[in-house]
Amino acid sequence: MQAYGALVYSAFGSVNGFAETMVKACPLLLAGLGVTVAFRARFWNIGAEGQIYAGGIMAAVVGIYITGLPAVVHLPLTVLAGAVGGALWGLVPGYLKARLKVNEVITTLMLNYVIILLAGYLIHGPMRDRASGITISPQLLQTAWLPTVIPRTRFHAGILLALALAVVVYWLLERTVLGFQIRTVGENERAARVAGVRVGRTIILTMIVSGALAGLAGAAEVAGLQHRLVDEFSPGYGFLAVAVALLGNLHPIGVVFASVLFAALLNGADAMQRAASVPVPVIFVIEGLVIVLVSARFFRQRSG
Amino acid sequence: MYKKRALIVPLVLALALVIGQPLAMTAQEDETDAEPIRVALVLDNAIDDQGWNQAGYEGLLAIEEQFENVEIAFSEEIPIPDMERALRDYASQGYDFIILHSSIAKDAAINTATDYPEIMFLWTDGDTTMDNLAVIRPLAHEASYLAGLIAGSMTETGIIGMVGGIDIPSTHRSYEGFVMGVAEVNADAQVLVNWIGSFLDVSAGNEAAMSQVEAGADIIFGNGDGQNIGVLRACEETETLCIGAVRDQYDVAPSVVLTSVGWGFETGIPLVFGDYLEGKFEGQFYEINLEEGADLMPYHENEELIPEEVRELVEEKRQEIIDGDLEIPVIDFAEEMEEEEETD
Repeated sequence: MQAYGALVYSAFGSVNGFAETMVKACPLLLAGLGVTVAFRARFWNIGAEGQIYAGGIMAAVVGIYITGLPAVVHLPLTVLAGAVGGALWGLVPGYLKARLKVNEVITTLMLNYVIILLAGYLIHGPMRDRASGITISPQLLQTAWLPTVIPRTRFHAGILLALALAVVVYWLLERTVLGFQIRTVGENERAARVAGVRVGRTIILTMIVSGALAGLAGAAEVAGLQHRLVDEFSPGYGFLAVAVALLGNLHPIGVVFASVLFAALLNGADAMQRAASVPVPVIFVIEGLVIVLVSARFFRQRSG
Repeated sequence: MYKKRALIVPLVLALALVIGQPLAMTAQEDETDAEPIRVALVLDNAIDDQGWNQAGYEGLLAIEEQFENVEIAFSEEIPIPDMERALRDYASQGYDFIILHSSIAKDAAINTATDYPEIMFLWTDGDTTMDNLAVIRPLAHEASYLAGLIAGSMTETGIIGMVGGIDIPSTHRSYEGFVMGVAEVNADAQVLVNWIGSFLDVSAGNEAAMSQVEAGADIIFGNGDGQNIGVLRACEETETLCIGAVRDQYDVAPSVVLTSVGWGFETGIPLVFGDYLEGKFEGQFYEINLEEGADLMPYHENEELIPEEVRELVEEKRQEIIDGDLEIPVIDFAEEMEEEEETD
């Protein structure tokens, strides 16, 4: 019980712990929202990881190489670049599925590796920080940094943006025509077609939105946290986002809670190790179990 | 809602099963009277990786052993982009002395040290110091030079391999020192160079070493971190002599590891901590030289494989370096990169 106490305490018991939990929840939430939008249309987007990287790369390029802008222009531009990067990377499998009926599980998964390796190439090659000689990119200009909200912590404005976007996504899915079309395509594609929904167009739009959300996760990591393009800046947030979206029952508000839960679990791993000498792999076992059980439930429900 | 509950019950049961076992075995920590000095270490891989991280962990254990009333803690397998979180976690809990054992996690050290000026930080193989941030800089290029003497003298094919991790300033210095040593005793020897671009990728290290063996290399210098395990295993498999790095890696492949280029973290970390206890800690570069532990590691059982005159030569040159009669030039890697860029 000591270990669980440590986990809960480290996640919520102190200002820094709370801030770090939210820092980790931010990319999970944004990518989880992206996955939610796609899954609602029954588009199995497991490419959120790649879309995060696409967003991170674009944000880094804009944040590092566009100079001379005031922060009011540069910061929104950087964040927007992240969304565009993610949207483009989501658009590719969306288009392939809508026009050529290519299986999206394969394309989204494979495109992950393309962009992750591209990021690695950039960091080790053209974007490498010559001043320090280490394999990281130069720092983003300060005008492109998401401001820190809680002093002496890493709680950055991207987290507030993510929470606001959860509400926006809820509104999009439940209150707009596009949201209705997304849900209709997801529930019964043939019925949607008969009812006059342009399925292909809906799928492409879905993936633009989905990719943009994941891309924002990348932009928030780069502009809010690392302030550089760093190797493996997303250690699998895009894959965890699938579990987050499923645990959140594909509901934006549910995804908020699921992302915070997963963030607490992730951050709690070393707190548990310290307090009760629980080996880190055991935490990974717990995470794995959560994912297996949640997806088992999800797919049983869908097929049953 | 009942569906949600149906999910939670097996979940909790599964967790209880998984967690119950290790929990039952954890011991209670005993309390001491005086307020202990709390020291923490943050690492990017496992503490028993037989390389870089184990060296750092051994440094932490040495602190516990050498000094009284010290309480140690560590976090292993922290991905580099996540290291700042681990540092801040310790800092916010009021740890007194926090060690970051990673060259790449640059901003993590600087940002945390800025926000917590009252806490002392030690960054191994870093490149920036602050009032409360010191850096250990191993002068491993000296021991690498000695290793180069051995490799250059012993090669029969005239081809020597070097498999490096990421080409960063510290590993680059080691590489330059090694090549210099080789050239001094064997001007015709060719050094095959592979930087695999990762400090963790064991299989890439393995493949690179294998391909160097195929290309005729009969001695391989594994210059780096986790990937060295792959390099040394490849050498063991192909019965190729090799040289380890960062710590004494004889235990990885006892049949073929001649020696290792030590980086002196096991001795350097307690050295800086001792300064801290005596109030002498300064935000400066602590250069660790041959005598302080960044030395050629023991030959162990493989001593006989190295000809006696080679061992004597190494001993002689080592003494010359210590006495200041021989200087192994340090190349400024960042400057070199700038120049390369300009000539491109």
